Amino acid sequence: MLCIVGGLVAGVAYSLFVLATPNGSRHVSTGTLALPHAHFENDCGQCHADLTPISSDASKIDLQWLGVSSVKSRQHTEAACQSCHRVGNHHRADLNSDWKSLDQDCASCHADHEGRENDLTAVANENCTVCHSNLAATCSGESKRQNSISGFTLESHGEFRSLSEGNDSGRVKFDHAQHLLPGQVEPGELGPMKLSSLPATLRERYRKTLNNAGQSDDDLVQLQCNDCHTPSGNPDPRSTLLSDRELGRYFSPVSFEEHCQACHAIRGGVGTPGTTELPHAVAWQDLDSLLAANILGSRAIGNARVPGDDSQAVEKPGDGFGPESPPAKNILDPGVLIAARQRVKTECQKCHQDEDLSGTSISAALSGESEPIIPTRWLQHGLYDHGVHASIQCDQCHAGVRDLGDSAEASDQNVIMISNIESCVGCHRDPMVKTPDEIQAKHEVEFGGMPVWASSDCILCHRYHPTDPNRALMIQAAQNPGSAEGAE
Amino acid sequence: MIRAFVGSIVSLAITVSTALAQGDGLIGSDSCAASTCHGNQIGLGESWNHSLTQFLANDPHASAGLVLVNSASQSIVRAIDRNAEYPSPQYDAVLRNRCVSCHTTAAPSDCEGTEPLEPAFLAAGVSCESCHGPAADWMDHHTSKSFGDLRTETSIRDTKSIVGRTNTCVRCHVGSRTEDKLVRDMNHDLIAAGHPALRFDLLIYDEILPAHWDRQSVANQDFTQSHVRTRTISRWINLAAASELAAERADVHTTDSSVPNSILLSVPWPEFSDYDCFGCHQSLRTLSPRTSLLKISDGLPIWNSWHSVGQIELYGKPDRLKKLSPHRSSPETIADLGAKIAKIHRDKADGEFETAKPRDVFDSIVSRIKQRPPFDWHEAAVEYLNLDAAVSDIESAENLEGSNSLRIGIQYLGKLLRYGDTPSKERSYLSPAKFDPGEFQSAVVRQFLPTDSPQSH
Repeated sequence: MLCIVGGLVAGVAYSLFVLATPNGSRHVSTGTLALPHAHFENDCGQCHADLTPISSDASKIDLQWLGVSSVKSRQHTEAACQSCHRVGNHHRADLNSDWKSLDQDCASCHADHEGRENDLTAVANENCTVCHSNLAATCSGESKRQNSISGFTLESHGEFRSLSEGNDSGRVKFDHAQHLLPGQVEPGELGPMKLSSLPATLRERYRKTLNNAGQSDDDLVQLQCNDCHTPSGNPDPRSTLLSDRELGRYFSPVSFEEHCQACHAIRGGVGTPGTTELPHAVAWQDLDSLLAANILGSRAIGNARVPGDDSQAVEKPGDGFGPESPPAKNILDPGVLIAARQRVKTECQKCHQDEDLSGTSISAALSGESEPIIPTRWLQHGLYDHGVHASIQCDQCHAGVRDLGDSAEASDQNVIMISNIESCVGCHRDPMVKTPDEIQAKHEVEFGGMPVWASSDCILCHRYHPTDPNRALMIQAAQNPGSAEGAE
Repeated sequence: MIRAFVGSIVSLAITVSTALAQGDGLIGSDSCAASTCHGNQIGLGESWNHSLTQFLANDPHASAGLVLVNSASQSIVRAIDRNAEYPSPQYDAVLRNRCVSCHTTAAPSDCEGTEPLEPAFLAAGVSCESCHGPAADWMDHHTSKSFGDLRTETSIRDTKSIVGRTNTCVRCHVGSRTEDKLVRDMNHDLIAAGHPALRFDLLIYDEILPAHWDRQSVANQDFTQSHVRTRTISRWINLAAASELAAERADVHTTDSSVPNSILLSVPWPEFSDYDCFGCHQSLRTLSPRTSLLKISDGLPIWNSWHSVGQIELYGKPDRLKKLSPHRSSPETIADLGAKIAKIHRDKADGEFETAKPRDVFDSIVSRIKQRPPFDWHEAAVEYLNLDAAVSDIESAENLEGSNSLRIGIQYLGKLLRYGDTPSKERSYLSPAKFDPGEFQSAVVRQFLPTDSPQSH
């Protein structure tokens, strides 16, 4: 009798547990899948296999006597996900065995059966800080990263390493502050650039409306950030995300032809009307023929004086108007070409280091063998979306561009003019932390009305899984734990 | 393969050129050529923005160095040194010793030795620093608005004022043995070898040059405000420079100077280019039309006639001519007189200039010529220049058309002064043998005083 009563009580209790608690309800219904997986919700075999648990604890459950192997579970989990999501592991080779297992267990971060609206990519910070709050305990060797990251403040995260360690690796001599000044000259200096200095076809591009009036040709060229830095899509040609391109998350590389040539046309001192500007970054021997063509061509059509021409427009007593002009020759004195090329090279040295002007360096740059002279990526371990921050004035994070410095020499190439974490944490903070006064004050103008609070989730800027140009490596990584590198 | 070979030769030449850097504050004009500085396309921006491209395209100074290797120069060099064929080390040695100080932007070290001359060095010609001064101590500062206050403390030259501009030109176009620590002495030996004689006039040379500056600027307006003023002041400086050169040449031969023999030999004495070319280079017929109108056969040529005529009274002044003569005077006397004449005329140039009305100036010249024909071609040429300046000022003041009667008259006088009727490559070997002072006088009266008749001397 007692047994029957006990059984009935247990049954009721269990029924209540199943009906009334979320964990209990899983015993009769595992819960609906998130929307991306909903189409095979009724085909459990897509992910599940008999005696092969998939859960955040699957890596620990090892019941050999029942035929449940933790290794098999992890492999099954990873293979099931990798059959569609071909991503790499996260520094698995550098982790000790416990954490290797966790890396292989996709469900530890991406738990499904939480309903249709469940965002499988919304990984809580705890899933990151479980390792990153004490990397020494998770890594098999010495970690190259900061040992303890537990949040997103200067104290809990530290500075962005790629911005704070070392100098700007760019090799172009450029002075942002000078270029942003009216006419590109410092106060007290002569020779400002005017719109009339630019080729007529390019003036409209640089003509601004200042103080409600359009500029005339006699006005000074006034550059703004977006004259050279234009938002664009992902420069990686493999990107197929339309939003990536539309939202302007990235910036187009600065190009001489597009952003510099209007003022810094390469002429080598050969500039009669009709002569062509010399192309940028060509082999020196190709430049010679273009220089010679410009020099001889201008002489041939009477735009330049032929050497040896002693004719005069004004009469000198005795000499009169001098002898007739000699015909233009089609041979250029080598000294003239050498002198012209030297002028071109001197012009190049205005912006380039000498070692980048050798024939070898130019060839390597043209063939893509060498690194770009201006780095294409500054934040090496995080992602930044310029598109969503488009309302914010550039100076807020790039204040250094206005610093004229003490020297007349350009020094931008030595300074990384991107603010560090201090420019982020004012807005990207714990929601319970009050908006700092200095941030609130900038809301309308400097921030362009943008909200002054934003999430400080790790996944906002960091990705766990690496990208790999060779997707086959991803599959190999899935099949051979510990063989591939990790993500940002 | 060939392109790569040529490219490597050019690269090597550039490396060597850079290594053989000029001294004495000269830094070269390569950095001037940036499009944002002075190397923009002609027509874009203000005149300063394309001054170098204008200069390189059209200014004769830009190719002055290349002139040294053309056929005429090869002939001159061979006449100086029969072993100096082009190209050869001997050829370059002659150029270094006699030519590059004027025909290029040279430092003293470029004018000595036997190293071959770099092609780019000659190709650069008379470039920016020749006229604007060695740039080492002002290149970094000349973009500053406050640079004007510091100009006199640097090596930058004054090219805006009449005196400054003339002083800049006469270092080569008249000559000097001391300016810039260079010897620029285009003497009779060089003329005999075939070099054209130097007859510099600032206004004509200025008008011939394609301006790489703004002729309408306030600074330049002082220069063009009055042609009479500009020509008068510049001729004072011309004479001063010529006198100083004569004195420097004489100094080499004064008895109290200890000069190496090599220099003594390189500075001939007497120096014939200090005298009227046509005083000696004339027909030797008994009834030579070149006989002095004063009917004096005294062997006393006019001293520095191109510069002195109209400024120092030497015609019919045998005492003065003796003191300045090549064979009846002494180096000491000429050195002393040269220095004094120079100082007088530099002081005049630096002093106040009373600008008379252009019509009054014109009328006084015409009246003078009407009273007496010019003594010789030189005097006629100087009168022509003075009339030309006066007419230019009249045209400006009275807003005359370019084809006015005065200008037509001036053009006619110019034709009378020409050595030959047609343009000739060998005009430097010609002379005004056919020039008739009486015809010149008649032409002046006919053109400008049609109702009057000339008076004979």
